[in-house]
Amino acid sequence: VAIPPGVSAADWANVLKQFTDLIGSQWVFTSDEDIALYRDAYSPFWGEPEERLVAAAVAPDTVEQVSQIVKIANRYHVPLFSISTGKNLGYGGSAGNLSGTVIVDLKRMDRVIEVDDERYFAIVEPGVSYFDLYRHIQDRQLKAWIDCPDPGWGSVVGNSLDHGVGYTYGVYRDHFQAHCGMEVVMPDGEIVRTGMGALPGAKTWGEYRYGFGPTLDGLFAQGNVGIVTKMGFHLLPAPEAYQTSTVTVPRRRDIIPLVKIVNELEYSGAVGMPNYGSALRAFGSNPALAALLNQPSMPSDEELDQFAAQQNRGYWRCELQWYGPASVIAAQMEYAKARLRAIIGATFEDGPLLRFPLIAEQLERVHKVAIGVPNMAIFSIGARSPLNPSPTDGHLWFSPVIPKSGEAILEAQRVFMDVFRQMGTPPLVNPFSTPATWMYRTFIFIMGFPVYRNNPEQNRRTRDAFDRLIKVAAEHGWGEYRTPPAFQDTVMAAYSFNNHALLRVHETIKDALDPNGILAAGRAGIWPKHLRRARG
Amino acid sequence: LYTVLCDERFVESVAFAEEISGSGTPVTRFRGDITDFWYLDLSQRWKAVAVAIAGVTTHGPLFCLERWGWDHGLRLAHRQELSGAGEHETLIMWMIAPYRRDERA
Repeated sequence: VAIPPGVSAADWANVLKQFTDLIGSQWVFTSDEDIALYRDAYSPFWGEPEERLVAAAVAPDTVEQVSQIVKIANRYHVPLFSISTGKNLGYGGSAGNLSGTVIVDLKRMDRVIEVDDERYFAIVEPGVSYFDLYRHIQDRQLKAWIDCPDPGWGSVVGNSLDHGVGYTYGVYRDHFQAHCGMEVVMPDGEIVRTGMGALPGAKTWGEYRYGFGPTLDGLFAQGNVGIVTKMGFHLLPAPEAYQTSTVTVPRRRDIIPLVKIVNELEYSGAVGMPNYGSALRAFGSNPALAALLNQPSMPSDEELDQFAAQQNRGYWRCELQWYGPASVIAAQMEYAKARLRAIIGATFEDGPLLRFPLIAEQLERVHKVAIGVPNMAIFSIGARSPLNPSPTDGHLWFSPVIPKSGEAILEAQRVFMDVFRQMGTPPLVNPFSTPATWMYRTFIFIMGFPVYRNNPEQNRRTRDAFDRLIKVAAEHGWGEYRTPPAFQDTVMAAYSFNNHALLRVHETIKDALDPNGILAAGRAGIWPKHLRRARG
Repeated sequence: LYTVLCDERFVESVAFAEEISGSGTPVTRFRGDITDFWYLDLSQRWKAVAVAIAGVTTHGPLFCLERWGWDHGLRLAHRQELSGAGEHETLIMWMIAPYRRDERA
């Protein structure tokens, strides 16, 4: 039986008895078989001594039970790590940063407290998945949309608290920005509400996020000074229609005016989330391209333009999306095209105008998350193919935030390709790589590093490469927005302005609010005092 | 057995579903994406009662269904990779079934 670090066997037995008395033995998990379910399925330390393994898990049903669990843990200095639905794959899954932690699994707290489709907000508990909230809205035929990530099995609360993102308009697809008010169990067990929720009987919890006085909410996102038990979120009004148009431009440096124009369109509310790409991304096995990429240095723009012209597919493309009345979509699309025709050789391919509700055949063809429909299709993509004969067991997301400009895309490609070349490892970037646009005001130059369950040597190389990229990114002014626990210390160390002043403030807050250091030790690189010293 | 999943893209999955359905078990047909099965059927069923399901599928659908099953008191009761099956994909024969913690000891 695993025992949390620093806790005596007698105290641990006492803690488990108190947990059992509080929530029932069926919701206290201590067997190897049960706690194995809380391993990070994509751990880069799988099967190695450094893998983060939990000591036990508890699944409370109410905020009062969460409060009591925290009080018991505080009394005996038992480390806790809360999860909502535990689906944070690629960023740590349901395992914490510290082995021997007790997982507070909030899956049973799955109540949709309120959804309003006239003022467009929802208030939910952490166990509510995007599927659950979507179902609640559909069953009641409410005229509101959610913005959901891909896949959609995660928690609305959990995704927001990890700064997760979606696919519609900027203010909605930044899921933490779309949140509005919280209920939080503090490290001493006190239950606090933020924003308007702090006002007993408040009528605007889900609408006005600031309430009165300083806002605390950010402390609980990627943080470790509270367990969030309710959150409000802004919802989108269900639109009348949806349409896309994809612009393709022919030359490498066309990405610069393309991003500049699309930024202006997006920030003025004239388009939804743009999706950048390149039809040439799939040409990795093309012999002419392989010859270009195997040169000692990056191919020139002219060489790449020539290759792109030979393929006759354009160099870059960007899918633009519109939501709203059909007449407004038509006008916005025409305006966007007029602006983008300034790029010589730009061509457009319009998608069909879709009026809601969609019929099943239409729904099958659309990118579902773009219209707020949670799904799991990403897991139907084959793991093994002729191009990928040795599929991995998972992935780690490397997610540097870079400026939202074409110049930044070209620079990031060059910098990261150089790093892979120097490391002698297969590159995850090529001259056609484009960043994700989930963030409203920045790009994320995301890459998925492979992990294996039976190849610790490859996992070690992956960890080394990941660490190297974090450091190189920081040298260029790029920091990660989110990262697996194995790299959170390194990422936080990169946010080092003024001798790590940010981390020192976090540590001061941690010590003040959680003096026993029981909540999510090490999350975001913020360790409690007693472990900080041990870690030097 | 509540249902047997049949990924119509793979002859092995179809054959297994046909064999199991011979004893009266309903067949759930899909093509790689288990979203509809989860959203329209299983998520509601498992909220009411933990029922067993089985199938021959690729890793992706099994990975999702197994994890969802954990939250409803089910576990992977059988898992067998079918050697040589699937043109490119590894196919797995599996069953997810209710798990009684008190029987474990």
